[in-house]
Amino acid sequence: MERYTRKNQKCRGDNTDRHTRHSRREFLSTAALAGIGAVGMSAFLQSCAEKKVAPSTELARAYLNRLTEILGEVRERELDAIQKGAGLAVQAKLQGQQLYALMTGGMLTGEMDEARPGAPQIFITRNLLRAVRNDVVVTNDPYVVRDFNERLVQVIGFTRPSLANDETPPNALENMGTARIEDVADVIIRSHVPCTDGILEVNGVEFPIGPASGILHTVLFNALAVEVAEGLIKNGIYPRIG
Amino acid sequence: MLASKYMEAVEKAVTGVANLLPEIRQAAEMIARAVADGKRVFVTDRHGILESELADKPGNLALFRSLQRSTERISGGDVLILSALLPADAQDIDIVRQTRSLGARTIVICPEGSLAPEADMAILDHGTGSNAVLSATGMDTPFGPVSGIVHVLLLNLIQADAAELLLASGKAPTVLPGEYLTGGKDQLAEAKRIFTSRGY
Repeated sequence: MERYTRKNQKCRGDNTDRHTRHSRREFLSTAALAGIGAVGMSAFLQSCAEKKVAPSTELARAYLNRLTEILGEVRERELDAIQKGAGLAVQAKLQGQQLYALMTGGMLTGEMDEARPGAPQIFITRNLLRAVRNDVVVTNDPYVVRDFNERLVQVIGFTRPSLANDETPPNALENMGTARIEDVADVIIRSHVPCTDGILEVNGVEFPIGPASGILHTVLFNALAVEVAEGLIKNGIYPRIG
Repeated sequence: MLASKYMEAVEKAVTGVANLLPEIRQAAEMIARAVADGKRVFVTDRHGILESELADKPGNLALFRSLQRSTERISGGDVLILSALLPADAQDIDIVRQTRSLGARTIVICPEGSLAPEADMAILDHGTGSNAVLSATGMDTPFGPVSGIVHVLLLNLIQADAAELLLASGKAPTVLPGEYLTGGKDQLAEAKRIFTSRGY
């Protein structure tokens, strides 16, 4: 039974329907029915145990459902961009160019490490500024690749919640910035994460709970990496696996 | 087309996590009890995934402290959440033992192995196989990790569930706003002030 309703985004000025709102009133009503009042935590849990009532895991389920929805959106809408980006990268590599990556914030720390078990080692993650004409750079930070267009470096850009992009609601961010990923990237891969990062809006809690950027950035980056790996393998280049 | 296969594998792994909701509830209860008792919750992992993903990031409950970065020291009654991608890393085992020796409780998220029984409770992930879910002709080694994603997802579910329990007991948890949002700097300072004053 779903007891949460959809509400508008909390990012100011945005009318898209991205969040799931869990009604605290409804939740507390259910809790009251289950014999749970505004009692202490121990008493609350004890009460559930005695009555063999499993308190709901509604927020966890709501988060899971919302994340699954976003993953579905991403697969439906970003796969073309991922393939396009991978095509650029494979072509560049076959021409002897270098592939770089710098993901600042958002991406799960450690996922790009050389020692990360199972990760294909496709991208150079240091010395990004050494990129030269026709090299490829993957990043979610438009500022680090600002002048790369002039140097004819090809850029695959990811959107991220904390930096303005063409889909960021007006005035949502304190600093709407002077560079957007769309200004500097040849291929744009959208993370589909709201600017609040949290995706679960809960009555009684001031800001949305449950950040999604780490998961989504990692999914998208790894999807790009495996697509590039596949293209390289088809051409007889076998990437090292962490 | 491996990107599509990878995304399918992620979605499958994410859906599979629903089977772990009872364990997630147990972990959330441990956290909620600690908070009710005025104790603290720390997080750690060797790759820094949890430390950066759960502590001080917008959308998280303020109550998660990075074990590495926090100036506070773990003590009796506190809870430590440790995420491990390997089933029996000696350093991870050592951290769990030391933490328990201080009287604190431990929750580990890890593949099945000798680390899990060391902790007060363990949530077993999808195993080391989830470090590599794809294969390709000509490649001896599988690749394409989903384990980090699953670990962070588990943590987000634990915190959503902990938030639900705290709300039910009348303790609306403080959630960190993005400092980069309009007015976010002041909102973040206020959230931290509230958290410091009441502990949740």
